[in-house]
Amino acid sequence: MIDIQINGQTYQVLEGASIIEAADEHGIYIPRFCYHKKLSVAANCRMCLVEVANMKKPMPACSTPVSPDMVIFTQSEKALEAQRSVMEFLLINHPLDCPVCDQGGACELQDLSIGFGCSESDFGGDKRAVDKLELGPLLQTYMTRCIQCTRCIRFSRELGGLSELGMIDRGGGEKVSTYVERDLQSELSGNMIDVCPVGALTAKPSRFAGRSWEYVEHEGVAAHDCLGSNMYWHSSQHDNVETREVMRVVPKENESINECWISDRDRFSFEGLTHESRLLSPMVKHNGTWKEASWEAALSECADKLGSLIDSNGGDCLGVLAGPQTTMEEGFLLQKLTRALGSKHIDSRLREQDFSDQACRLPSPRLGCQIADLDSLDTLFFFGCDVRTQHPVLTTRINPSIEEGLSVCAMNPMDYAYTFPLTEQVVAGPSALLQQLAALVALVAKEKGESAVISAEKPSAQTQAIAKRLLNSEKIALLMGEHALASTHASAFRSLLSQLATLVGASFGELPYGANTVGLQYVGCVPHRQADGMALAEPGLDIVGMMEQPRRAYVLCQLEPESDVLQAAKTLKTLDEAALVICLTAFESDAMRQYADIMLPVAPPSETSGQFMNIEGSIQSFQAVTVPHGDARPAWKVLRVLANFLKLDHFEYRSLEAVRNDLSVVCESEDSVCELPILKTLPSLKENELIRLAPWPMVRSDALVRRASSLQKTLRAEQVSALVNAAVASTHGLSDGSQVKARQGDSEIEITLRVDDRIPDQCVMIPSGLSISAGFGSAEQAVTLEKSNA
Amino acid sequence: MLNEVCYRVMPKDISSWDDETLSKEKTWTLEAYRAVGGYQVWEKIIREKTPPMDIIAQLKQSVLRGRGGAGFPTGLKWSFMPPQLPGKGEKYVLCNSDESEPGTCKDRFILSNNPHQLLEGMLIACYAMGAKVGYNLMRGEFWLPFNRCEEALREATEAGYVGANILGSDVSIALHNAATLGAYICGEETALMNALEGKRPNPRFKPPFPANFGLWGQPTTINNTETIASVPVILQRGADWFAGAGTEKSGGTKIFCVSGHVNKPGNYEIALGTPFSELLEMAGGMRNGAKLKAVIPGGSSMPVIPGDVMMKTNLDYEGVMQSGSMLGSGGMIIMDESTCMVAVARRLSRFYMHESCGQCTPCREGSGWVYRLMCAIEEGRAEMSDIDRLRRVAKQIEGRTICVFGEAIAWPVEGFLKHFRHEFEACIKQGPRTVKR
Repeated sequence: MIDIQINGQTYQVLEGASIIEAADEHGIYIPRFCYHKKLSVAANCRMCLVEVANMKKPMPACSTPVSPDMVIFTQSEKALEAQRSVMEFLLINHPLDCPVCDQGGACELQDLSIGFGCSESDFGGDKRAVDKLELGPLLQTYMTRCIQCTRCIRFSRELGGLSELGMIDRGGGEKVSTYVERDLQSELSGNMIDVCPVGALTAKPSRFAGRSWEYVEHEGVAAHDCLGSNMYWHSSQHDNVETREVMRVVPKENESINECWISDRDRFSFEGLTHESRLLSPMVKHNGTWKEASWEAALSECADKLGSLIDSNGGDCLGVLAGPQTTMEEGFLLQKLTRALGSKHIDSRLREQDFSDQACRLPSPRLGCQIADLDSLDTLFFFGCDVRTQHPVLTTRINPSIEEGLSVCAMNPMDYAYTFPLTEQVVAGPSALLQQLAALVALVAKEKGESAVISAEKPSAQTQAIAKRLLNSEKIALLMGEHALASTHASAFRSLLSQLATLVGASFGELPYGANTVGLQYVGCVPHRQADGMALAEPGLDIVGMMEQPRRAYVLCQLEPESDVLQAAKTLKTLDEAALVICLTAFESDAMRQYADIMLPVAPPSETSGQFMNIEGSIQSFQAVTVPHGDARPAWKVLRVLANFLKLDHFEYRSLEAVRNDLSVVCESEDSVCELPILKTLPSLKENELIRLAPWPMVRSDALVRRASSLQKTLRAEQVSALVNAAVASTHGLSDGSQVKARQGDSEIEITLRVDDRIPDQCVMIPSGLSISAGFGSAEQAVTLEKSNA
Repeated sequence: MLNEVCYRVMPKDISSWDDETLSKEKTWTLEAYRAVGGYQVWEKIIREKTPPMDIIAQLKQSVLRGRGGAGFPTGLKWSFMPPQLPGKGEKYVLCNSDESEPGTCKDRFILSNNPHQLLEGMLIACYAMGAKVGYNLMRGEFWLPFNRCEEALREATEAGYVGANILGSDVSIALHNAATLGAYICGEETALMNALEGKRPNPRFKPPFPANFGLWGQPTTINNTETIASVPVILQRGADWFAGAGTEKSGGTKIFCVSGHVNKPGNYEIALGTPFSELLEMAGGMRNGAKLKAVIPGGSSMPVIPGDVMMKTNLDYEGVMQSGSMLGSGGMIIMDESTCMVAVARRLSRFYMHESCGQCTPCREGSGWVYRLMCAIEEGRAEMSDIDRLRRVAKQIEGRTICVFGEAIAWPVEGFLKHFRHEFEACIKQGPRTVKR
């Protein structure tokens, strides 16, 4: 720490800090445009010029380091004159049309021109006009307003990792451009809107919808991935709660989670809230025709039908599934209801199919370290994780860390288009991947002088390189991603990875899909543990078991099985054949009208209050922003009243707080140690099968985001096609662009084939969650391909 | 003392520097360079293992100052290069051959006609500062100079002066020629480094300074072509000889590029401190016997000096500064009475508008504003208040930018307004063409 003087006051500041950092630290504001605390220093806007004693020229506060006994004046006549003249220069070419600019009222240039500018300009000429830049469906540009601060360029390069924007031309003609016109590919592109200090980059979906001063800001938690990014919902209408609408979403700063970034999915999914397929009133199916019903009628029908089925078949006939946007309170009530009805069959792990080690796993998945720890690692090892599309915000920590010396290794079932370079990577189909992982563990064990538990094949050159990297690193995190969790080998992967973590002294964690997958497992929405974490001696049926041993009745809470589960075809068939399917859902679909018997409209995340637990195990609560659309109700109220209709005891909750209190008493957080079974032999691997890799594209991951129209426009051709590598294509006699029939059992779809060498041998990538792949087959299992005749 | 340092391979009479004579003499070859004693200094250094500190001490003694424009003492600059620390990676010497200042054409003659002397200078610089790699970065338009430098580098490598184990010693130095894509701003030393790294050549803010964080983040020393090319001769003939040629504070000789309304425009390498009148005489005097009106003494970014003041000025760093300008790169633009100073100022401001890289607000926006005001004045569309506006805008650019390009826009404006304000006023009052042609 050193002493410096700012405006006559002495402060202790960190040595090596810049003047602006030191001033910010002590709440002294210095105007700035190009400076952003999360981006590299550019020093190009010159707005932050301040006077430093003994310096002839005014100094830029952002790029001038403090030195002992430095004397700084941020508001002296010299400093103010410098700032005023920079502001004058900025405004000679900036259009003064704030009333028609979407940024008006939330514009840094507007604010600073009032604070530091002149009310009159000396400039009399014509202003510069710049062509609009087409950046795709999410960002609207108006480049005439650009003040060339380069924040968007630096974001895209340093945090987005893609360098999609740059400067072309020079002098007064300098402009931000993609050079060759194309849409932005980044999953984080919306953050450029936030960093843009003017109205050059604005959000297309919420453009001209309202003025920032008319909006009410509500704290929220992002509802699409397990990080729990903090954000604000901005809603219209100050007073009238009934007519409030969500108008836009912006990030809320949380240094330990999302810093100040959110993904495009979190930002633009709100468009789905007003989709035409919103279920607005309870619906009941009688003899194949759907009719609207009152809540009372619908709930009593639920109670009657469910009650009579249970009366005649026992509680065991009920199966319950919860989707990951179900809050902790709702999940708690759901499992309580299920168990009160005498059923043990409840699951929330929609995208897993290997549960053989569930008894030994942590009660709910964990990252194994804190999110912020990812900033300071030596080596990060991803296993089956498309972190770029599934957990985009994490990449804002990884991309800049690469410069600091982080090396990332990966073993993946396909070569994902990461935004950061990989030091080493193994790409192989699920079986080969398992063999290489076992080889890696055996190799590391041997190097460490431990006796290898597993006998494995010879490691490939890349596997050896990964072993070397892991053995030579100190701080390591191993992360098992959503794609590995979905595999039929998941438990084998998990066992080997945890052995590997122990061998190299790394942290080991999982990155499951969904906002509250963690919280739902924590509150007992799993067949093998109760809400209090007690393991059941005889577990109920998991999601796969529930479909293999069909139940008579099902309750589905906030999911669309045709698009949300791994074994879609089998699930749809089972639901079709069930005597009763009750769906608590915000949206209806044609498929749901087919298998459901009663549809109860519940509130999506912005319309309900509740809690999500993120992958660090932090519980974050949020309040409803608007009242639910139509007759929809928060799911916790629906479950509570349904329990009353079913005449169950202990469901007399008067408020959400009462549920929350009960939950916090029942569900004790305990730091369980997981002791996974040690894998001694590899499961028998089937050769010569074509395996279907079935990842979910970012914008198809859940019911809400699937209905967000602007996000849908970002889907690229390769994200809606079947992909195989050139070798597989030629063995099957298929070519790029041809139509193919993909078949799994009775299930069959037609899809365009594209040749893409990012896919390993013996694999075909057919994305899940698409409208064409809805209800199709089983993810991560064998598939056959043949040329379509059509 | 005409043409004895950087141009020593060339005929003393500059009127014979036409393409035909030069191609006959092939002054750029190793043979021609050796004939004037070339590479003897380098051989001696290698042979005697001269301590690097001795070389730097000699340079300090010679009072050699940077010839690119700023005039920073070269020996001092070389001593700033941090010592090689184990495991710290390369250090670099970078020769700034991106000569783009209007009115300046001295370095291209060194590059095309005496490239070996530059190579020898770079080798000595690398040796003295402990760098193993040196780059000679030329402007993109230097096609012939680039090819000559490449040929010279090949010859020098074959002769064992460059590369691994130079002349059988354990000294290894790699030299490379490279070219920018041609933009005035590439001549700014930090922009030059960005250009060489393959980035957009925007100047970098300082600190950090290149001596600590330069090319690819490594310690780097950047010198002008003429500065580096002077080094072998200084070491050969002695620091005292060189220092004695100039004045007390401005040692040695300097190349002046005389252009404009003179009879014999060209490069003259003369002792610093020579009166301007002598240089004008060497250049054959004023064209058509016209009267000298004004001189821009150090490349276009320096303030203009009226002819009568200039005739009393001695050409050294202090002398020119006393007359209200700077010696800069030594590009002397000579203007006679037929010159409209408003037109000159307007043309120069157009150059600076066109060459601004655009990153800093004052320069990006101000350079265009200055040009527009100049146009309005020249075309008789302006008001009297525009003159003060012009001065104010220029002042607002000066000292507010990352690099000194801001000064390069502002100083000429201030110079012209200081000495020739009446011409600007006349344009506004009477319309254009205040000067009879």
